[in-house]
Amino acid sequence: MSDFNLNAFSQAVADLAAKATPALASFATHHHRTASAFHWSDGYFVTAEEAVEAGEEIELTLASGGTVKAELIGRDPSTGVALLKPADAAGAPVLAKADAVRPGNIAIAIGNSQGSALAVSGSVGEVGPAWRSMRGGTIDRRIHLAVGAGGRFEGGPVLDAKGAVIGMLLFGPRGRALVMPYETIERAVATLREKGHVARGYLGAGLHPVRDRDAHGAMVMSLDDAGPAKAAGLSLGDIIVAWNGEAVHGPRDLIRRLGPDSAGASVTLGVVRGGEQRDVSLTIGEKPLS
Amino acid sequence: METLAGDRIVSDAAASRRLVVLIALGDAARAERLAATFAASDDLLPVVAGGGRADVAIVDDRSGGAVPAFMPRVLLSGRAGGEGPAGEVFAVMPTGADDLLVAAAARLAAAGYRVTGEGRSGHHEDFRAGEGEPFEDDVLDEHAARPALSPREAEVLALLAEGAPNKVIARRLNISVHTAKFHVAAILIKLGAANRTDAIAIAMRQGLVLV
Repeated sequence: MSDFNLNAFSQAVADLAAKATPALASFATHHHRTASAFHWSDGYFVTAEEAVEAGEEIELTLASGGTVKAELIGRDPSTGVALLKPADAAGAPVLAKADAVRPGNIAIAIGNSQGSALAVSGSVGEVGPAWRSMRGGTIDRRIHLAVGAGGRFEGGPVLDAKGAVIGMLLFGPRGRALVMPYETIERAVATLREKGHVARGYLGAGLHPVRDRDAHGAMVMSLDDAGPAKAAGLSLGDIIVAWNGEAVHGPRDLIRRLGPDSAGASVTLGVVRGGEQRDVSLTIGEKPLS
Repeated sequence: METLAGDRIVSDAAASRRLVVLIALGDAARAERLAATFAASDDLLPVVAGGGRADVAIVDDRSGGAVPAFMPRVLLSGRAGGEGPAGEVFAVMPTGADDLLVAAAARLAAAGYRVTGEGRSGHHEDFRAGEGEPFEDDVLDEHAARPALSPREAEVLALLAEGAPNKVIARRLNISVHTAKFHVAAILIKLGAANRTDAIAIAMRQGLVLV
């Protein structure tokens, strides 16, 4: 047999969790549940955007058990990150950034619920390429977890075997645990600290999915008189079927492309009017993403 | 006019007397939590069982015939699509619906509205990627009935989409925060949304919010 010591392994995992615990906080969310948050840097905490109610004052319960009022600096639905600034968070450590992870690497999800420390270990299940969220956020890597972490862990950090942060735990469709990667959070935090919101691309059109024989697209149902779509000559009933030469399957697809980095971009839309397709060039506008 | 009527419903109920809500759920723990939420509101009076009359009842799939047929009811249903008993005025919501949403549905049902969700999963979908073609999702959207929002709800939705919290919505529309919350809750129910972010995403896909 090898000299692997199960107890030493167990203690090592618990030690890593305990070491990160002082960076954690908890707050009340919908359905009388709690979610986790963790110290990012300079006294700012990050958490899961969907757990935070707009305009409500947030009370963070720190790892010490003490409570502190926190201000919501901003939220980024495209990456699922919300940024909080507690009135006082002295002593919360900054967790290090993890190196690249591979499927099968140990992953430890850490959380906090009303002052009590939570930790569960498992492994990284999948590491894929960058992807685009439904709201157009560029997510650096697709990281899925094989970790039995429940709702109270949402917004908490996921650590590697050195205790460094792989990213933040969120739940995708069907409750699947996924990790918002460190680099993605870092960008969202920088933008939120600077502007308090994240931009989204804006066309100024209300859209509805349509199919015309084999073609799929987004039909223009309403127009903002001051929006880029109207300025470029789009009319009600036009069907947007392409974005810079790539097929657009419908509103979902178009919304996905109108993420933060699309604002201000020059784009050529393929538009079907009266059965004939033409190209329409326009500059994508900008609105706060919410 | 819409606005005035909506505001009056809320303020009258609060001013005159509390709405009596009979909680007749098979799930006792849920019943207790709901009762606590209702009791904390200005305008709802939860009753858990027996005698007396109630204005509206909260029932689930296991409640059976515990509630008189004439009483408006809100059904918390675990079944997809939530087909409830026909006839009386009622609202159907997923079992996991937020307590505040259930409260809003109770007010709407008591006021004679019929509220049904879209039978959606209620799950946050923003991070769906790579599984299933986007086209399939758009077909789902295409077949989803476009919910009819009142003019006031449409105004509230537009502000929601700008990221406005309830306080700001109230100020901008010159209504009370209580009323703003009421409209937001009604919008979430009508769109079948799990939360505000989800509501905006659904509204954008259905052409209710400009993209």
